[in-house]
Amino acid sequence: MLIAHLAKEWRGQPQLRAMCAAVLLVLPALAAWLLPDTGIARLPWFAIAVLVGAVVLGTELVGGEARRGQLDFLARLPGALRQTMRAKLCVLAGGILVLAGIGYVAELLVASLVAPEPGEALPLPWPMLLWSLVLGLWLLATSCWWPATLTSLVTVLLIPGLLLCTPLLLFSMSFPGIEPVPGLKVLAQDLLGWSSAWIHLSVYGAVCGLVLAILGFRRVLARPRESRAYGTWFATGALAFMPLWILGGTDLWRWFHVDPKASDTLIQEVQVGPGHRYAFVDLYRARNPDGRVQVAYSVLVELGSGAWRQVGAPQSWWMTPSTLDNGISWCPGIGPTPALLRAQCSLSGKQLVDPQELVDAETAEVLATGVRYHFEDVPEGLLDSVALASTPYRSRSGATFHVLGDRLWIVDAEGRRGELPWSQGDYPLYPIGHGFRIVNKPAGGITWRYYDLGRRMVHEPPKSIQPELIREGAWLCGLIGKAEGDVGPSDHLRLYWPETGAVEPVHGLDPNDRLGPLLQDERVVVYRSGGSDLWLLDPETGERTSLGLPSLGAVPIHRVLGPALIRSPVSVRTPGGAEVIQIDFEDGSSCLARLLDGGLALTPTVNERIQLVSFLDDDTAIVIVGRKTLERMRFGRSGREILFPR
Amino acid sequence: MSDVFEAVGLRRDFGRKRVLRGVDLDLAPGECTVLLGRNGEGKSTLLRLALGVLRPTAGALRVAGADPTRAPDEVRRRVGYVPDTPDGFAWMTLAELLRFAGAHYPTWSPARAQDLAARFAVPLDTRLRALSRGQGMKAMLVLALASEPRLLLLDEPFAGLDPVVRDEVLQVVVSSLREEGRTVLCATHELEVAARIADRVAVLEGGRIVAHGSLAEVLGEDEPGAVPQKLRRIMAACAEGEGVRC
Repeated sequence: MLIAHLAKEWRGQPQLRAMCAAVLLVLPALAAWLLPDTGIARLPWFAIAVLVGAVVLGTELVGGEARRGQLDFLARLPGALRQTMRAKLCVLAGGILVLAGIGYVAELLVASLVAPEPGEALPLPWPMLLWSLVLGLWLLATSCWWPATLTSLVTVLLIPGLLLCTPLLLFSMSFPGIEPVPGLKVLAQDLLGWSSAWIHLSVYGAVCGLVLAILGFRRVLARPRESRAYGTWFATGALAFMPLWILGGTDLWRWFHVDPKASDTLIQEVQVGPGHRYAFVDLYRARNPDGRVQVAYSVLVELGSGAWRQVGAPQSWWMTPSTLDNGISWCPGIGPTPALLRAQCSLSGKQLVDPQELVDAETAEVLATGVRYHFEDVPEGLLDSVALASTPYRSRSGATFHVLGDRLWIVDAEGRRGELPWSQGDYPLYPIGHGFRIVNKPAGGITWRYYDLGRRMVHEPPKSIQPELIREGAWLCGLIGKAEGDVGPSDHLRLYWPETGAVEPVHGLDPNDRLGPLLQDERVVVYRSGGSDLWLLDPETGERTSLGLPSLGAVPIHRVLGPALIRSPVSVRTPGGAEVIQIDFEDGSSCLARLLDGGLALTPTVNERIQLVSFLDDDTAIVIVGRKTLERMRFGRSGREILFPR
Repeated sequence: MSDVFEAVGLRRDFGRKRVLRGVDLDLAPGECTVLLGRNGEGKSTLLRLALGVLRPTAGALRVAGADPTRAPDEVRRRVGYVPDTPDGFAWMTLAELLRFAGAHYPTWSPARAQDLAARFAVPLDTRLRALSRGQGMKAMLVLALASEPRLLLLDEPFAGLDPVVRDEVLQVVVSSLREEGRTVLCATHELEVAARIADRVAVLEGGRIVAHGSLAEVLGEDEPGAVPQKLRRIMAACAEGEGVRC
């Protein structure tokens, strides 16, 4: 009986066969042959095939027979209900799969005609296939009650809103005095908040669609004349829930479209491209009062006009691979890659957006698409055109160092680039002074080691040594327990010589002193928490120089730190080479301080924490204020200018 | 009392509209009962309830030994149904439609189906959309009879046919019934039909069976073959303003 139904469904869908032959194979081939240089040839034939298949099959399999009055005939046949249901579901899934195959072949055909060079294999867009199946199921379900094609299409938009948006909204929110249902809350948060939301939505959508389709089949085929009454009740119920649905839909809309001025939207990170024309801003929004679920957005801001646009889907962000300037630790190969990660890797002038686009950070133009996450997959020749970013450390010969992916580069004073030896499996984790901590994950576990840029060596100190600052001279380290031969108090910093393993007390350091960032000349900033004084200390000689703090008033210092986005304990240099540190005060305010000629020039003090983004010149810094605004500030002058969001 | 068709207090509402208000009807095996009533009285509703494609609001119904609400497939295997309009899949030929439908009936006989098609002079290799209305109705009859049903439900099968075709189809039905002695429930408002095929007549009015019995019991003695006067009076009262052929 099932075979009879399958044969009937196959013979009853002539439009499907015609579409397969004419539209999906002939049209792409013709377009590729006649119009190879136009966008027509490169249309997403796979997506077109599966979506058209889903719409045609979803609305025709049941809706078409209902419109032609053929369901009455089926309803009179004994045992036809179950077999019809199975056959239609088989034809829907099989039809979409067949069309997916044809669409894929069409794309291969076009690729071979338009770009005959052998390239990497064409990726099969599985998510699109899954969503088409979901759409087909929903259309099949709704066409049981509303057979007209347009009506079932509209209903497909409405029903998920009723079934998904409203409960998700309700369960994802926290209401005072009401304990949320844990499982449902987590589910809702999971759906709305994480990068796998699309997968979950697809799966749940498919399940809902399948259940609705089966219910619809049973209702329509068992008693066709009664189905309209049930459909009316269903529509009435949907309308009754419409206000909640609108809320849910609005919430989903907000999930997809970021509002920088919304109170719960915060700036996570900003990178300014060369020429300071564009800022690449990562925003995130805390979905819930507890802030546990966050949604990330990547935004492109034109600094001159303040115009901005969201780039990519939610849960995407601009991402640098490894430049020590920003201390980014998410280098390729480290850590999990979220499913919807839309990362941008900064190679100074160029930026990689994973996995789709390579964007020029100066012009914001898309240079290449389909770029893989790993650095080796950057298109041929592109690497040579990339200017490497400078790191905080500059050797005495003027060489700079760079970490690109899992490779270490040195650029000498003449601009020659070379790759330094690097153990396989070593990845830089974060900078500490003039070196960085690296991690290696051999089969036995994780090992932590340290790369000294000045010595150009990897060193693994004894377990009792906890490096705090890597210097050209002795490292500044904390002690875990008591080192062999150490005579000083164990709760204080020590000098550590990696060549010999010798440990000695830091000269000139008072027990109340706290360490600030490391300067380029290997001295460290020293301050006392609750005090208002700053010093520069040479830890090897104990020479201590006081820094005058102009007009800071009586507000005591809370901490002094390196102003890079990730709090690396290193000062940052302006384009002219002046060193900049950040001072946070105990009243919550903060400012940047530029060291020049033994004095300090401060930016305006703001009542929120600030983060340095970039310098426009020696006098002007771009900073994030309170994680809400991107502002321009000048050293030694009052006044701030908001760049984003205006 | 038979197990071919037995309705007790059968009620069916459509929203607020009560169409059947308590139908009591018992069909005798091997007899042809004509269900008379004007349009909208619920004749088709009663037949659809019998086939299990509608669910009764209240009351009890047994058809061919089974409950059509609880075991619709069992009922449909034992009951043939001819709609008022030919349906099925217009792109199929009758042969294809017979093959498709036959897969659903354990008692289906392809040879009998072909024999019926030949007797009714319906072409097997013509698509249904190309058949005339009369041929289409004959095709529906072939479909209904090929499964050897215990009960045949005819839902106004002669409505809308021109007189010549109607006589032709009617002739097919009459000859088939006489030869096979099948139990038939035929809903119609055409008195000529009732007079030619009915062993018994049931009159549906106001949602109830107001008269049920043999032609002689319900209609009185009249000239054989003519439309009985009493039936004319009943139908005239029922079909006032309905344009019924009387």
